[in-house]
Amino acid sequence: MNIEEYIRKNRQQLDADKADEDFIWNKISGSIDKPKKQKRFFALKIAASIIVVLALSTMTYQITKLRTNQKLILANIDPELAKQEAQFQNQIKNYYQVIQEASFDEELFSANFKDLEYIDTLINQYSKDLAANGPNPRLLNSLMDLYQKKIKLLDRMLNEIEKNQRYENNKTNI
Amino acid sequence: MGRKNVEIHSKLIASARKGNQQSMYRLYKLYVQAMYNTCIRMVSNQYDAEDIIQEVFLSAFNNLDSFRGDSSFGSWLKRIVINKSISFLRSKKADFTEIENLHLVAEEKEESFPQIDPKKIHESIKSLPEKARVVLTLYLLEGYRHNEIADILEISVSTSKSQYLRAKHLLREKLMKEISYEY
Repeated sequence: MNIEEYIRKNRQQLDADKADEDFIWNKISGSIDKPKKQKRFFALKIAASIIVVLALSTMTYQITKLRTNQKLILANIDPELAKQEAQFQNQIKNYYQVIQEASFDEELFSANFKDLEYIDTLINQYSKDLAANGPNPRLLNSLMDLYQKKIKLLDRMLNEIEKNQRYENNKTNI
Repeated sequence: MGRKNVEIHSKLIASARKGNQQSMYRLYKLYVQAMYNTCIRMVSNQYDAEDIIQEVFLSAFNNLDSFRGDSSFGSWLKRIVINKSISFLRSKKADFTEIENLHLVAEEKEESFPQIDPKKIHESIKSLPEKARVVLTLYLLEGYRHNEIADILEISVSTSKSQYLRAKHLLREKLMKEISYEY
């Protein structure tokens, strides 16, 4: 069997990537929901302006709030994992710095901020559980997993912000 | 089975046409993974593929009236994925006509190909040079003919053929190298 035949025979198994279905659907359903009728345009515009003002005023608050769990949880529990934790936290800090300096409409990212807040709540909960019950491999794994999820989410947010900025720049250049 | 599937889908499509979001969601769930995989092989980047897939489904749901059932819903969606992926690559200044100057790679007599994990083939395709990757994806995985690829990419048929041979050659090399690392 040559390479073409082999690939054709295994065509279905070649679809090895897994799309983040919920993430993509949230964006699709959000856009489907948007009313298209011209009559609502002015009301929407006013509502959007109010949302932007509110969003800008709470943005600094949200980012500051989300940064609060930047302390090493594992320093006294597992020194090896603590090194990894420090690296994760450093990455997270860098993402926050870049996001904080970027200009974007926070309303567009409200779902992401909620997810980040939820991850932080879990991290705090795990931190308390570890302090109360000592090292537990499942808890430690879950904690590291949460850090990675947080990094992935921040990376995705930053990518979105950059894309929106590119889009806005293109619009002004036309 | 095929007939039943067609019927189920046409009901879903009819309901989605009326704006039923639950039906849209079911259609989305049925097709998203296959469309995403085709897209990511074309554009080779997770975030871009996610954006394109979002656009594809939005565009499909907004234009369901233009789906007349001449082809399957999957083929219709796939066509949108491919068009949007190519538009995206063009917006990134990918110029498919550049490959006109490519020297025709002679078709080699191929040895039999060893058993290899299809996931590795998928990853290797994503790492091919852009133009070779697109032609190989369209021809070998999506079943397009060279004259169709030539039309879509605005290149000549001979360029499509030579680019395909090049892609196949590069892919084989990559995979053989990978196998040799394993042993």
